[in-house]
Amino acid sequence: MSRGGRRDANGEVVGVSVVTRGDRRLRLSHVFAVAATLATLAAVRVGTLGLVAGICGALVLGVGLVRRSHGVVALAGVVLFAATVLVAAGPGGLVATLVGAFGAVLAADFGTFAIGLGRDVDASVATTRVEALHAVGSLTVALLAGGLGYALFTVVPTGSTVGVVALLFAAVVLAVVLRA
Amino acid sequence: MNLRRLLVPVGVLAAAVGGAFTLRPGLVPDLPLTTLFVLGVWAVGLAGAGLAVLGRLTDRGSGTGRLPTAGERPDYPVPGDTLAGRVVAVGASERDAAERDRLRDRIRDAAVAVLARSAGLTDADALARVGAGDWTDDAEAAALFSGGDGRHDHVETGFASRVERAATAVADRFESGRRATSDPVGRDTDGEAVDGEAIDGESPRSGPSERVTLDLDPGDERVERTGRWRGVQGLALLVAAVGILVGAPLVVLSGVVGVAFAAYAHVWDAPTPALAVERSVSESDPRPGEHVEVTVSVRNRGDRLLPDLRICDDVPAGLRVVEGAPRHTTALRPGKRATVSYTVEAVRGEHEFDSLSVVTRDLSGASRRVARLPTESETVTCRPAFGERAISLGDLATLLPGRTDAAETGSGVAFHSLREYRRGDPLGSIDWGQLAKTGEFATRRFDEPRLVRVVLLVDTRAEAYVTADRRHRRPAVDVCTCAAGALASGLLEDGALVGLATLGPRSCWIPAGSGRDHRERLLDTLTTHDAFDWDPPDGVAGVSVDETDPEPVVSVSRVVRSAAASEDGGVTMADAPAGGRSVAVSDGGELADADMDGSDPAEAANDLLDDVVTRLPGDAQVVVCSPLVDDGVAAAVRQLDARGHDVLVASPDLSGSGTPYRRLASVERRLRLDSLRRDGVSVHEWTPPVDSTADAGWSM
Repeated sequence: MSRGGRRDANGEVVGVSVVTRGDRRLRLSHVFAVAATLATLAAVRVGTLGLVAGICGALVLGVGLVRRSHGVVALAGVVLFAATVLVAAGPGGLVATLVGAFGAVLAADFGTFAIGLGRDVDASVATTRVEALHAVGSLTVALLAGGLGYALFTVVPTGSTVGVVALLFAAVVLAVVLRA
Repeated sequence: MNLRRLLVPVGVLAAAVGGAFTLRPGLVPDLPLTTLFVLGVWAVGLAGAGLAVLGRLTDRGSGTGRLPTAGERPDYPVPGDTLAGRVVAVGASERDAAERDRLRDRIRDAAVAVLARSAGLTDADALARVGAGDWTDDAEAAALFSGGDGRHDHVETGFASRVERAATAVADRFESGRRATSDPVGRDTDGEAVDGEAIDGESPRSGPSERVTLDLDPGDERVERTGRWRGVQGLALLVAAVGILVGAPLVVLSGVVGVAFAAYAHVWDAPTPALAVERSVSESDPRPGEHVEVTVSVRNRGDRLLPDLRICDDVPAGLRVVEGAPRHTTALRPGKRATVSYTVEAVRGEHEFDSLSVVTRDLSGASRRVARLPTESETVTCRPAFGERAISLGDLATLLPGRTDAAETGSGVAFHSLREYRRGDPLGSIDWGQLAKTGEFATRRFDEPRLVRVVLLVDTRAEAYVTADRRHRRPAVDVCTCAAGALASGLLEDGALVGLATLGPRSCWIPAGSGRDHRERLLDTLTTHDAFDWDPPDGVAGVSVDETDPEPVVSVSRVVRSAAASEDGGVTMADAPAGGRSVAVSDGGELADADMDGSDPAEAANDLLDDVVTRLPGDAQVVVCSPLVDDGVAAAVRQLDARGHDVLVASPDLSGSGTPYRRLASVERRLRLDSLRRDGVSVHEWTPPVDSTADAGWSM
């Protein structure tokens, strides 16, 4: 348990940031987050710019996981995603784009899940089952959506920008509306 | 809701158009309208996405959405900490001028009293010197009272730093004065200063951690969004916009990720937990300090999987977990069971386990259902051996014969004095020896032991929930309760009738009595009555108890009183601070801030005492057990004294150290005690051990 904390000018402890015993434990979700990051890195390796951004994202993720910061891990997800976008706009192929994009989001998802769990329970509690279930859920969504995207992109010969935009728009609007 | 109904057809239409365009690109010619639509979506997407992503990144993910914590005592403040909070919160603007004046007056009162005492000045002279600013070498501290008097220029910068310097100066001056003179008379020095090092040293337990509570009553529940996937829709829009801008279809495609997860986050709501909860404790009647193992077992009796179940046992306030954890997270299939077990350290009180905090989340983690499930009640009752403590009482006694020496003469066995014979004196009381010696009749008088009635008045107001040590977190109320127990036993042993009452919103009254059963009843009440609970009254956790300001009336009454005592310059003395203050109050016309915290302690004392004085017998002595961290109790003591009761104050010293405000609070308390002593109230003071299990009652 941490003895650290904010101290005021007189060296008096005025508050201790939430560092509980659970925080120092390596959880399954940490491993998943790193694996997802590696997948993204593998996908973006075809473009130099993308690879550089991807490595930056991986480093940010590492920092976020070590410091147990939700915000930093989310930022890492955004950076990894940006790396994917860079590659998709340049030399990247269809599969690389999908793997990179989903890898980025999953990395942030698993990372923040691990941090939230660390705050909610102590180190002694085994959380493998919850984490595995969460990972399966997210992975399923990623595979389904990725497969759908892949099919859409390959089946429709030239693709229509307007169509894709309209679909995106529809999906977002419906998602917001259907929130009970 | 209406907006939603409008949006549904929009969404469906967009989906249909999008599908049609995607499958048959040539269906609609490339009209300007289409381009406009694309551009519009692009602009909206970019703006919305930027905001959403930004929002997500700045969200630290803490605070809301957390599982409550348990197994730590409420975070009681150290005397002075609330003052520090008020000083930090006060601004430089005109709006805060009244609050600044209240704070300034509070510190001025302390400065005047300390100066008067250390330099041997009258209050009026001390006030003049404080106003002139030559009471301290620290110019910044002196400027708090002398620099234009702040009351007229309504904007003031650097106030907090001046207050801090002034508090330091007051405390320094007080302490140097104390070192020069000996300890004040009457200080009970038998309590060894156990806490001196423990406060600053490392303790076996960790430092205070943030306390999270559910704002729910047992049986209530609510559903919340965790905001976990917030920003992902924005990401989708952003990427689509960028893709269209650069003309890269693959980039647009990558936006599908955002869409997918945004939809995923809205598919399910967190499931309702249908749980069967069983709880058992290893020992329901432990001794203080004994470890008690608590086992909680939950079974999913619903027919749905709970993909993410987080539970936290509602450990009663006061008990702290020493081993294991009362929190657990698991996934539970229907019919399956999860067990949590942890160990708490028993302390005084009747602790009831009767609810369980439960948080379920859906698979995506986007929504969570927070509930407090009522469970079967399991009670742990820890009765300390309060010990015995004798105390020398005042002279007030009942008319009944008893065992306590009172200042009464009459029939008895111990010789008191001789007096002239009066007609009707019994023959047996005539001192025949005296007659032989002097030839005159004289009557022998004897001490007549009387029965003394004592009511122990324990301060259980929210203000009394302070502690000297934030690691052990033993509140003053617990210290006073233990002291009251020791006093009750000691006084009963000495043959007094002992009653019990509380000074606080949670009322408790036991009329004075004697005998073994009565003693048991008193000690049982001190153990189990909720007035002596570990949770402050109306207080949820987090305890933001405000110390009441030492407000107008007390300082006025103090000045007036000392004026009456010294008789010289009464007018100026009564005038100066009282006049200034009453102007500030009536002028400002802001009763609102007067009500906020700085309520009149005399009135507050009236309210507090209302309940007590109606039941308090006129011949009862009163022992007030209070940490005396504010003027409310001091005013109550004076009122009881004025009503003719002999009042004794038993006050544990729970002063903190380290910050100027804690030192100032300690000085204020000491001044309060001294002022009570000057008024003839007997004050007994001791330093309690920081750990509640370290002593039984009042350590000798």
